[in-house]
Amino acid sequence: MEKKDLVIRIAGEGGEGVISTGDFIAAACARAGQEVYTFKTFPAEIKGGYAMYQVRTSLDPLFNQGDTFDILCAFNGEAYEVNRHRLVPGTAFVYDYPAGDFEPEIPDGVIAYPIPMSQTAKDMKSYRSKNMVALGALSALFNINEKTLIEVLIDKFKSKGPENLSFNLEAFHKGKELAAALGKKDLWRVADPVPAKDVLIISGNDAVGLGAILGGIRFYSAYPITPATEIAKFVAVHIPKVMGTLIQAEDEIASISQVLGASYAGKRAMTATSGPGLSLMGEMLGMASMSETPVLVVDVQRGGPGTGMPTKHEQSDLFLAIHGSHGDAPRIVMAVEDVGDCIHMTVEALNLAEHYQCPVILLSDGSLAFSTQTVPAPKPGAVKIVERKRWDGTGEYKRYQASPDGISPMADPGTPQGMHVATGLEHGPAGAPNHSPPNHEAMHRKRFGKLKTVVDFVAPTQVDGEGQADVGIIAWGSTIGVVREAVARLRADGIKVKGFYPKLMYPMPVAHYEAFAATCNKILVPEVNFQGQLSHFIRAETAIMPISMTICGGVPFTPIQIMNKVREIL
Amino acid sequence: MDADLSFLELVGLDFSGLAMAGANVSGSHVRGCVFAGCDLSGLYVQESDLTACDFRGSVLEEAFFQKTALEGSLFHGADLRWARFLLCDVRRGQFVDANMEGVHFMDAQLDGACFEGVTLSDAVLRGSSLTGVRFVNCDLRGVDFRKTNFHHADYASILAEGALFYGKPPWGGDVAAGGAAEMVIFDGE
Amino acid sequence: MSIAAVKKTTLKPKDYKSDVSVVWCPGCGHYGILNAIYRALSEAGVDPSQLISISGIGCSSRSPYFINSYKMHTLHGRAGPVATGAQLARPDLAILVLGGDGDGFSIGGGHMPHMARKNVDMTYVLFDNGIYGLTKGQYSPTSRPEMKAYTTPYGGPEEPMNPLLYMLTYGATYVAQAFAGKPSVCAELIKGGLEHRGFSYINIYSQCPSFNKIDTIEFYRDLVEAVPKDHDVTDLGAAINLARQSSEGRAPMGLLYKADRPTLDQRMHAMVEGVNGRPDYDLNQIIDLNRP
Repeated sequence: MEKKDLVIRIAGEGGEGVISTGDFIAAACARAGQEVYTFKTFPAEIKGGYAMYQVRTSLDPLFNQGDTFDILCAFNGEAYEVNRHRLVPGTAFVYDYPAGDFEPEIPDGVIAYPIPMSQTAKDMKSYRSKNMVALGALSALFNINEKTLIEVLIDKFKSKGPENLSFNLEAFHKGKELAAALGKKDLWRVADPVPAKDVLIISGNDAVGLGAILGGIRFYSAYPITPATEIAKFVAVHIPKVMGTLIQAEDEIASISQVLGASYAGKRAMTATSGPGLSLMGEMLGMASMSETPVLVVDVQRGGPGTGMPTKHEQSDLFLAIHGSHGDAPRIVMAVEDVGDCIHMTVEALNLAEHYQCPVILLSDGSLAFSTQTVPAPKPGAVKIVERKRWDGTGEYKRYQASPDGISPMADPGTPQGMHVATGLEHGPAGAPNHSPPNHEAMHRKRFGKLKTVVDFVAPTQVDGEGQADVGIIAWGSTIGVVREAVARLRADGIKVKGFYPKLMYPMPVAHYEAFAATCNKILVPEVNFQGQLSHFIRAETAIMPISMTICGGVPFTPIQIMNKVREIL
Repeated sequence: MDADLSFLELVGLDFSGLAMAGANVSGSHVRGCVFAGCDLSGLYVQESDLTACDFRGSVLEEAFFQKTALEGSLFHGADLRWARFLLCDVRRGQFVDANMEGVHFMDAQLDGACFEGVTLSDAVLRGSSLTGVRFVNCDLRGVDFRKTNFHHADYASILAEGALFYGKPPWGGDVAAGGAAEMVIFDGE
Repeated sequence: MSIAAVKKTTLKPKDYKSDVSVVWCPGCGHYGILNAIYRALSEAGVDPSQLISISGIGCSSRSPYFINSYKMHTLHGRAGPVATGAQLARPDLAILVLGGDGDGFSIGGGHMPHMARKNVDMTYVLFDNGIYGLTKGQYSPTSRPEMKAYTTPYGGPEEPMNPLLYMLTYGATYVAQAFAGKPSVCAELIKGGLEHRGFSYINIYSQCPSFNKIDTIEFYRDLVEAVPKDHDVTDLGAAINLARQSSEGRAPMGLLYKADRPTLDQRMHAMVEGVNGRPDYDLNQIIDLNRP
């Protein structure tokens, strides 16, 4: 039986066209109506080093990058060496042979397709077309739609001149012929094209940038940091078009300070960083809490602590995001599940910051940063923008005047008679310093109290499944996508299992957690960090006693890992 | 811009009637000078010696004196609204019929000074020494007497509603007076 | 900052006083600087609603509370970047940064070069008293080694920095110096800074009677020396030579340097024009770039 949910892994040396080959396949599949979910790793080196790009494609919705690959395309011996232990029976293995730099051992049951990629490129007197030979072979072997693939290649190469294009197409066709001569021997086959959906294919970082633009930002302060920098790159290209400003600051402390200044001056403003940057921003986030100034910080988490593993995936900034500042510093913390969330939750996070006049931290992670996925194309007209409450200009203006919902109107500088101070000192209703105990307590109640309604402002959690279950799995961030698939597959095997997916991490929607837990015999919390950070908050804030399941090897979970654990604890 | 009389020797000169608004008289020796009828609004004086000067009938609105000797100086009929005397020596200063609304005497020495027929409403005398000061026919409403020895001053025919002080006032029970109001305090950012 | 575009008024200096009473130690030089700021704002005619006064933490960083304007009292050392954000968000407003030597050159020292070289359109008035006053007297980056303080009981182990040289080197486009004993000079220089389009830096020596017992008003009086009448303020080399004198026991007072260079917000605006930016830009054009 043909298998139409398949994972193609392309591996080789950085600069050999690994990444572009993956991008071409992903785009061609999306144009042929397929869902696409990609995952890639870059070498830490600027040039050379091992690079990997994995494309998962199916007609059904995809939530993660899959358990492992079904097809390996190895451009060189290192790629073979790194991945050979995963060559299991049934896997298709396409590799550079003969005249490549290695001679593989083919395990039993693995279907081998030796394609002389380097030799063919050499014969054409262009080493750069090696990946086009591979692409042609993959297209022929696995039914990657040739029509959409060639359209993608034309779009890519047309600007580089007709010669360049025809040369690449020639290499593509040579690869196709080489593969056809070998004959099809495996079961993996991309489904035939269906009408294309109205989708984008976009990475998590670009999606945050797009969400920021759609969410109406007019100021962005950047500081380079892996794996968040691409957000700034996207915003830098587009923000001048909407008359906004992106500035690269001298450090992350300056970034968050500039964001605070711009926000005080009345503009929707944000920055994005990773864990080390968020650590540096801690003091100013407290200032934003204290002065009730809207700011958005996107944290694309990476392996920590210290410099840690900058290019690797981890979900280990939850403690920092929720509590990373001195004093009692209220904020809102959200976490995205997938690339679609990266777009619309960035809009939502900006709305939350403006409405609640506080810092909002949106957590993404290293695996989403570079993962491209097909997502429904957003409609600008349908994007809801919530503006901050502004002073109506009547009466005497007191910036921090108590109000029933704790939210006091702001006045943009330039407004006559609206002069006020935004201060990091504890202050009274008009902003003047006030260190009296009753005032400090009243102001804390105001700043924390206003967040009580956040749980109604957003969709805080999702529940997957109904009725009573033996195991309930609580997952956050990109682990949710893995759990969604694990839940579906376990259920198909007759196991009673449910999923609970918080998107609002703080203030913690405790009632939602407890209602869910009441329907499950056991609660499992898988997360990619050493300490079990969400488990910690669940134990601290709810009556639930979860079973913590943690990995922290720099890579995401796979569905099989979750499924095995559920079977173990049943 | 404004006249600069800083760091000069100006002893015993007569400046009567001159327009000297915003002048700077810092670090100068100006003993015994006459500024009668001068416009000295916004005057800035820092660490100068103005002992026994004559400011009668002058305009000293918003003037600023800091660490300055003004012992025995005359301010009859002067306009001293919102002027500030910080850490100044104004012992035996003569303030008769002056308008001193909102004046600040922070940590000043005022021993033996005379205030007669003076409007001192909302003035700040915080930290100042008031031994033997005479407040006669004065409007002392809203005056901040905290951290002063105001029990050692003399009061006759005064208004003192809203005055700020600790404990019991030295004046009679017929004068309405209030306790300490809220004050902006900065401490150790 | 350029105040050409800012709404003008004819307010008097006292109209720029807020209703928060000033709380510095009696004898403090900051009173003179604040007095000069009121005068400069009045003479420049800045409408209080068109001004944002921004500070970090320190004695002098309390100043915004005493000024009738929009204001931000932020974190230690961060007034500069906060002001940069506010300026880029609202280039039509006037931005005044007020702070001390510790705030600006120690904890905030990493930001100073970038505001100068980017030519952020703001006026930075640095109250230089060579001491941390609010924490009761520790030596600062501008303290003389002779000064015995809280953390230097045997005198200081470090050479002080030279703020003017620093600012000239990093590309500030308006650099001036004065001392608090000459408020009218301060006012004139601050007004000049307000009227200058670009990053204006005004270093003002200020005595701290409570903790810095050696930098008295007399000391500053003897230290400063008016910038020579024939000094060419467009000559960077000449300005640097004047600034270097501070290390030799003579400090220039007056305007040292002034240059016209595009400001950061002007360059940002040119970028917007370069892509035909508009508030109602069709976002579908950006979305469509991400189709497969």
